Amino acid sequence: MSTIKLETSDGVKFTVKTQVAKCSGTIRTMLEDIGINPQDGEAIPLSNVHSTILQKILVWAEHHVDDPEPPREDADAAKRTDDICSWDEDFLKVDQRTLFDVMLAANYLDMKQLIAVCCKTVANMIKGKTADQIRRTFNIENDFPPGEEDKIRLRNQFCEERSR
Amino acid sequence: MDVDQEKESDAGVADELSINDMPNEILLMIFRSLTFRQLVTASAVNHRWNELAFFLFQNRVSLQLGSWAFEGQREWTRTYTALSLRASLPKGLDTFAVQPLADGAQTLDINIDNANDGTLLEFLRLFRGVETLLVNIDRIRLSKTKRAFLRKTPGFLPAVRHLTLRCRYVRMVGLLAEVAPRLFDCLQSLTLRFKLACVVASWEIPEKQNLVERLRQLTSLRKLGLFADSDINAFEVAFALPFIEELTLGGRFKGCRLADFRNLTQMTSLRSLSLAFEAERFSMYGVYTNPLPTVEVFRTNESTEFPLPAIIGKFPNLKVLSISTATLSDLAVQAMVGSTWQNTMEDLSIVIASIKPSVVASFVALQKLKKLSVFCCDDAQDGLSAFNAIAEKETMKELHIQRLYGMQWWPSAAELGACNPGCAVYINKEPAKFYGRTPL
Repeated sequence: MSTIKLETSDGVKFTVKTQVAKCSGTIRTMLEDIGINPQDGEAIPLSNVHSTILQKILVWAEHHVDDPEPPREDADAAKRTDDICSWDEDFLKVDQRTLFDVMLAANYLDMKQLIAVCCKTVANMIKGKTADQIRRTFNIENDFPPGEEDKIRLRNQFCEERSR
Repeated sequence: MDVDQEKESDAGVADELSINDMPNEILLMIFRSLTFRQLVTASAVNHRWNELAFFLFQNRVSLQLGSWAFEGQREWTRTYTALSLRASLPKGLDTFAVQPLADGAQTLDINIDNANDGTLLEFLRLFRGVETLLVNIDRIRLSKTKRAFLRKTPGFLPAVRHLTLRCRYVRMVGLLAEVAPRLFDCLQSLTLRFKLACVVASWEIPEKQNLVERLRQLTSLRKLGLFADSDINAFEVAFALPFIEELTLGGRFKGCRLADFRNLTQMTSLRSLSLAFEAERFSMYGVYTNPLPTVEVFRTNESTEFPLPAIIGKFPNLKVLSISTATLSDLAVQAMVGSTWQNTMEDLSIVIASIKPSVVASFVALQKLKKLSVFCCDDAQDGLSAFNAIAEKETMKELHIQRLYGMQWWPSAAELGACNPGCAVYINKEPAKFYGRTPL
């Protein structure tokens, strides 16, 4: 089985099955389109990813390597957040910092399925909360000028979804 | 999009990486998983979330104008494409204050108890970009004081193409025709919802004749909707308009029959007919005579009796058929085999009694079928494999299978594995998994 080497921002080298590494669209493009030859033994530099995060992402990729291609883009599937498989749910039971690190790295590595499942996890953390509870959950500063938030609340109260 | 990206944190050494460090595209992806209400809540979190949330919902939202909108000076910094008016207009309407809001509106929905004609027209005049206008006003007080002045205003409601009126229709049509004669020249679709009181009390022949005369002059009109409670004669207005291509008839009725619409045959351009009756009993019987060969689309929401052979005779060239409540017997479905529909039907949505091979064969016989939505009544645990022969058809693009009662099927399409890869399969509204691949 062919393997390739990846080098993280902190200089750690990983030897990874090619098939697993190709879960990343970025790496796949490097190998297939740009023609980087992994047999040379040279490591592909991933300058935006820390070793602790890459380690975690590789665990995910290893588990999902045999997943079929997702069906065509489906707006309804993106809307649902109750379809996270239990393995992914456990995998993403991490502190916020790690979760967002994984998301940034997955974004850089172009791993659409991983990003999607992370986004659904965050969406579930937003659901059912008031604006203030959301701020506290994610440690977000309320940067509205005084009085502005009241105006937004008032306006929001009068927004209704259009029927189509 | 005009949103500042948060500064990137120093690679790897940020002590508190948080949701604020996510780029806009990731935040938007998270927001897309939220329902409309959740998104509205999220928009009140901070400035950036507000901008991003509004970017997502600006085309989905309708801003409800209550009396608060007309009180005091307001700054409208945003453009809402849809507005709805739910409170009476104040007498001294400050048009300058409302103008910025009106400028961006494409859809305006007015739903109020009563209005003074002058104030109403002054309000409407602001909406130069509105394409779709819905007016539901119980009483319009005619004063004639401002109308002479407003008549001189050029370009009243210049962009309206789709108009729905639910009020003392003749009065409103008259009022609009007076101030905006050109409005009616450009109308593409018109829906009139006759009010019960007005039908019973004042549905007199001269008024009907006036309305027919006026509607006959609307040469660009292609779509017409008429809703009248209990008065089937009101629909004669539509039958007198031969240029209409799409017709929707509806209203509340105790019982009525398609046979009452024999003058439908006068509508020689009719392509699409939708029946939206709230009837206790709507009968499709007695439709054997006078086929409507131009009709390609037929939709009906309610019917207790649905003799499919009669419908085939009435609409021999249907491409789209949608019946949402009546259940077709196995025998009725088989009437499609060998009928004219075999060479025309492309999109079929029906409720069937059971999945028998003979029923499935009736669908397979439709040579041009692209989309099939089947709602199944029986709760027998038949395998989905019965549908294989349909999904395999080369013409098929979409197959929806749903069970109305009993056990739900699991949305696994391993059984439908051999389908043509161009056909999307949905089971109980969900995309069937493993579709188009070798079953695992």
